[in-house]
Amino acid sequence: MAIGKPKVRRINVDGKLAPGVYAKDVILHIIRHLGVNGGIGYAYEYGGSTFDNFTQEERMTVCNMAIEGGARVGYVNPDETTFEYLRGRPYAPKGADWDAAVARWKATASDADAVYDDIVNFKAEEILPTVTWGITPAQAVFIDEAIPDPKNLPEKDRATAIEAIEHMKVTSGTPVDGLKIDVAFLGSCTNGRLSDLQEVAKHLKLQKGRKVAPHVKAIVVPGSQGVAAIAEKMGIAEIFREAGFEWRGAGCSMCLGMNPDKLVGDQLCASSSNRNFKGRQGSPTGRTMLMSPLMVAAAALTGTVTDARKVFGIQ
Amino acid sequence: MALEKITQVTGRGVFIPGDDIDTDRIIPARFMKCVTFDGLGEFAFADARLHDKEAGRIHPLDDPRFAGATILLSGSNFGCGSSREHAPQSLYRFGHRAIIAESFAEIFFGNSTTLGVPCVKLSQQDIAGLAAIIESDPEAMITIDLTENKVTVADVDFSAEITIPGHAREALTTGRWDSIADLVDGLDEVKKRVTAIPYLAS
Ligand code: SF4
Repeated sequence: MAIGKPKVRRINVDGKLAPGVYAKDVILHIIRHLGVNGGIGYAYEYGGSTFDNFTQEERMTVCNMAIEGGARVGYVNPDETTFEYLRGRPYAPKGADWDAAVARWKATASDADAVYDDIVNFKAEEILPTVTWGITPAQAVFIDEAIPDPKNLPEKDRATAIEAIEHMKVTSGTPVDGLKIDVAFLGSCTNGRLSDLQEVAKHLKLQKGRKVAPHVKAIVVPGSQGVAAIAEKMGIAEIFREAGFEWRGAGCSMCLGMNPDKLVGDQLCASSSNRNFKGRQGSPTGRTMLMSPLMVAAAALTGTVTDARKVFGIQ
Repeated sequence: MALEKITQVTGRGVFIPGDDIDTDRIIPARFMKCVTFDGLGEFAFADARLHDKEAGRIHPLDDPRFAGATILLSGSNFGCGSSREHAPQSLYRFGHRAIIAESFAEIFFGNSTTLGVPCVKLSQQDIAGLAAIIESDPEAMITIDLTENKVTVADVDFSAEITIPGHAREALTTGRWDSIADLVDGLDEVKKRVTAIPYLAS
């Protein structure tokens, strides 16, 4: 067969994330440190207390971006959180079938004494809201950092960094906080889940009357029609509309620019999606900065990339 | 199904420098609204080529010296990002029959292998060496030999050891690189296996 068995890298994140720091920040942080090619030949198994405490949807956000880290698959071992998430969903087994399925799923989880090909550890407390500044998901910094100087990067990263700085039309040393955006895109398979929309809507609601900056086009695209329907019913869609976001039909939308939702020229987009490659969002010169959904919302309101914790008063 | 046994690829080379060249770069999404993969070849690296043209440069794929090259050389993590099969398809239709890089993104690697396009790894130095050879002589004939595990260049003193995962080498050299054909061939075994997987059996 054309597929070989991968090695397994265990990635532990332990501790509690600070308020305003999300699963998206965790995976951007992981990729920043392991690289977009670090996962080649590996499956990524995520674990540690941060993942144990994550909701299933938060885990999905991280697993979703294993690909961006170069791994072919990413997973968190199934546990009660997983089973509760699945219980009662359409297509989930019922009755005795359910019990058999849960037993089977449990049997697939790694043993406590499992041996890995590699183990990497991160501390949740050290992770801050993260944004990408370049043209690969590994070109990421914390919101209080500046665009790096390629000279200070490891040699292997320099050429891509120079290319990124040219494409992104940024200069080394400029803080990412304050970069002016043109478009805000909240959606994608990475961060278009109900919990993502709920979290942002919760904070928007507290900012009563605050609107999307006049020069910004902000769109919200639910991950699925199911999510869209529930969000409508819960009043979430209305909160976004009132704040000046366009509430759009479900799909991939501006993650890849195959429908008319595209960047124009070199517009800069604050995006909750997973890929910031050159031309990814439909315009060859378009620029993408990846970040968490709440960071996208903060960028939409202020018109600049900025720390969502300050905008929404999160401490 | 008997497919061609791919043990050797010989042809001229073209070098596209850079690491982490993603599949959006290889084939931008707006060219993917096709029903078949025919015609994708001309859009390989479309934006990068246009960008170079506008800047007064010539992209390697548009450089007449390398026209007709069948072996593509690049840097590390080639083909990362979106899993689109359109990426290897567009390169294949452009005329590339093998790719040499420092490393490959997994899904791209798999998609290429199932098209019968070997993706082989060389060290950075060896790639630089090969690139220098084709730069000075674009007619240089490169041979990738999957059984001997090496790359050589006709009439030039160059030989380097390639790396390719065993399963891919085996699939290519035995003519079993189309995994769907493989599944169809082994239909009885597949059916047997299905009955042993609870959620498929019920
Ligand atoms: S296009 Fe974007 S949102 Fe759609 S599946 Fe691909 S990565 Fe996810």
